[in-house]
Amino acid sequence: MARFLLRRLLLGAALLLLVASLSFVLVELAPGDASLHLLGPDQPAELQALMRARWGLDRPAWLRYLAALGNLCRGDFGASLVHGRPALMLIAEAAPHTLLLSGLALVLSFGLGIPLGIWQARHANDSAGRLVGLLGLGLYAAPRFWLGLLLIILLAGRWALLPASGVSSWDHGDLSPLAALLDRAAHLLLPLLALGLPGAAGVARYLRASMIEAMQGDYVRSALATGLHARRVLWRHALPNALLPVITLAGLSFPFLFSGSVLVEEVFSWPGMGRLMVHAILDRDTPLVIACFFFFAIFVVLGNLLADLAAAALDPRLRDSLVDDA
Amino acid sequence: MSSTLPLLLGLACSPQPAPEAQDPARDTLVIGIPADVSTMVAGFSRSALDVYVNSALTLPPVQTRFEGRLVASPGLARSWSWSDDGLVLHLELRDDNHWSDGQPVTAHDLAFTYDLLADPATASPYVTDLAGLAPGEVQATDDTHLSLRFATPGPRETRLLQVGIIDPLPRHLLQDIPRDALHDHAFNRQPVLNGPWRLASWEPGQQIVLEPRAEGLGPAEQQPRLDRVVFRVVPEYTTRLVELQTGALDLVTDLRVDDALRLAQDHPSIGLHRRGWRKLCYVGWNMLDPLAWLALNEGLPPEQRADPAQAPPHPIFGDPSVRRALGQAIDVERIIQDLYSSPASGERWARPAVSNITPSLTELHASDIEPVGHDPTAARAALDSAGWSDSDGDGVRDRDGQPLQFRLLTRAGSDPRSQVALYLQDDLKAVGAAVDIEQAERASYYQRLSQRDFDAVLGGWSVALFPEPREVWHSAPESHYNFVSYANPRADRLIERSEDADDEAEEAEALRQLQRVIHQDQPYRFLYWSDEIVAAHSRFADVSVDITAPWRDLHRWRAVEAAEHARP
Repeated sequence: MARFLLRRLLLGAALLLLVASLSFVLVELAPGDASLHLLGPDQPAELQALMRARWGLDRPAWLRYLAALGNLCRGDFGASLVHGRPALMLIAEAAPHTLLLSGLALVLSFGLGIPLGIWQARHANDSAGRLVGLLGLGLYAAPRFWLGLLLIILLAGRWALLPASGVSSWDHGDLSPLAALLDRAAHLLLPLLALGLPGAAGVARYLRASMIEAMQGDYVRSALATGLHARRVLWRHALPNALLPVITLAGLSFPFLFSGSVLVEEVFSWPGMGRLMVHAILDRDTPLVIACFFFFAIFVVLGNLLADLAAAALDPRLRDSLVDDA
Repeated sequence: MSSTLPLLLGLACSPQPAPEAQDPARDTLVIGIPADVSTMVAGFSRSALDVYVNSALTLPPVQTRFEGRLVASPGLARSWSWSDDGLVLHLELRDDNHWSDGQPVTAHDLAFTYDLLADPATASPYVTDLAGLAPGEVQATDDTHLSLRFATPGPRETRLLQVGIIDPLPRHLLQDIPRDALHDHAFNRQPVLNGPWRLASWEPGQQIVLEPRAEGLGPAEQQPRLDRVVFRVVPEYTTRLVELQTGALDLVTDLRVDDALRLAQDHPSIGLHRRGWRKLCYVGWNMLDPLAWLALNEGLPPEQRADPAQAPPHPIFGDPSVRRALGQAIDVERIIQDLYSSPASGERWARPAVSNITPSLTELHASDIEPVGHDPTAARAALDSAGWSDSDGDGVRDRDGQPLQFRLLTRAGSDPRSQVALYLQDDLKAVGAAVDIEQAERASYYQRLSQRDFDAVLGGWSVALFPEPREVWHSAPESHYNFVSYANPRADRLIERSEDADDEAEEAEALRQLQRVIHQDQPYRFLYWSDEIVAAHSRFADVSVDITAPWRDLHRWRAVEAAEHARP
């Protein structure tokens, strides 16, 4: 197992290097650079040249690439060109917001999606099941940006139930600790729903299909034939087998959660990494873009590793195969 | 998304609960802003939004008001005078203004500020405004007297405003910091300034909270009457609109006309304010062949670009009669009617443009110029005369085998402009010109403008209230905004005359003549001026919104009623 972990970590490190290199290349290929964007085209050429030199943009791309990689190996992502602060510091400020939102969205996706999927599997042939399935499909297909706006308009605007933007009210500093906590929770709800509900719909559809397949398995028929109660067969025999692909799905969900957070954070003014990354790309802020991509990749690699370990913990066959591989 | 957005906006603007929740902090003004600011120090600002937010934190030597032109009024400077030769400006400063750390603001601070910001090493955007100062000729004679010597004579009022609106910086805190480190220094995020407000907190990407400075640190009449001003960063327009209606925000800028109309109907507690004619929408015709120009400049850094005179003219727009004909094909009235007018009242938030000097600058704007009318028949005749005819019957004119087809570059995500591009495409198609719309995101758009890599550009400006025609129209290589490579010796002379004018009247006359010359040449088809709409909750009195800023003199604003501020 230790060798398996080591191998995965080494593969992860290679992937991170690739991600950092690709993000550098992509920003380089994009037209325009930070000096033109930040100073505007009207500034004197001498000032543009000064700032380009100060930011190192006057050096050849391959030199900047090597410098960036060298710095990366020392854990130094450089300073953001726009913010003038270390990229790592900006990530440290934004990452907790994204991890909180994405983590809870993952919990919501699976916490709601699994029971819904089981229910849908049990009602696969009745009209209520079909209706819920159709609604779930619509929710799954809805763009998160659009869903976010709809939630804001209805829940924050029309019914005035929840705040529409930010992580807290402007006067959160004046609130008692409990009130401040509730205030933060209220601000979290809408982006959480926008990010988590489509995920829950996806998990439910996945599990529904997996459960229906499991319910047709020989071992289920045998269990039923021995006289076990249908409910017990469902929970003890069909569900654990049907859950395995869903756990794999959890690992695969990380990239989608993070990419979804990019739009959701913008709509809800959530100061996370998605919003930071979008603006860094638009500003051609290369150090910050590399840092954002790098940390997103870390989260995805770790998420997949955890999902593999969780699947191995649940399924002895997988556990054995990991040991054999090692 | 584009098809669903109108539906969502319609929902957003439908009647919603009035702002009525209970909140004790009712003397707080919450302003929704679309992006975070990059600095709290105006001397290093990178955008108009930076300047608008920063302005609350400072008291510059000269304050401005708009009366058909910018007029100077006393700020940190009690009074000013000029030497007889018009080269030296003397400022007398008030002695009751202090930095937020309690130190007095002196003429030495101001002299330090001018010296600092004029130094290219600090990379301040004010470096061009201070270029007219004679090097090393800003002298503080004592704590309250300062003299600034200019290298050459020039219009006094304009010069006073150019240097007078620059916000002072504290010498005692900044003099030991290397100048090339100031641009990104922590002072930009935790400034010590001399305005009526002080920065209480700044949560990046979230909000900026200003509170009144301590009593006694500045003039009593400038002590704020509100408890707090909060700038909330809300990037999404629909979210800002919803929060305005629920009362989570008190002020939102840059409303679309249809949203403003719905707000006026459904939310009487929200007042609408017009800023004036500051936003210009135009089509610029590139007069150089972009491919030849790019080939000439291949591998050269921007500061070593080739002389535009070496490049051949654009095969279509090199001919002024074609530019004029294409301009005549565009129906500006239809655009204004459809996008900027109220169907019910007929009220309009846009007007046709004839130059890039706003009609709000009544003395400088050449109001005698007749707009290019919509006359497709004349346009067709002019194109025929210029040799462009539809020889193969495909609906697109051609000449010597080249179709009358070109790329129209515009910025992606700029909502009214992307709609306007479709109107232009439609209008120009009617006279036999094929337009391919190219949308580019901001950085790419600016790069292509800068490299003159376009045929025509549909652009927008928030124009300067000090017209600087050299940047846009002069044929000299350092005219960075002359993207279309306009060159006319007569225009150059008029620009130089306006710069060398001894008084404002002479400057104004030169600028009016310049507008007539440019109108004759039609390097641009000026489309329309639009009026920015600012919505503010009506519980605030002494609200000041004008062409200079979407909010100004925030220290004068006050809450007038016991209506409560909503917090859902």
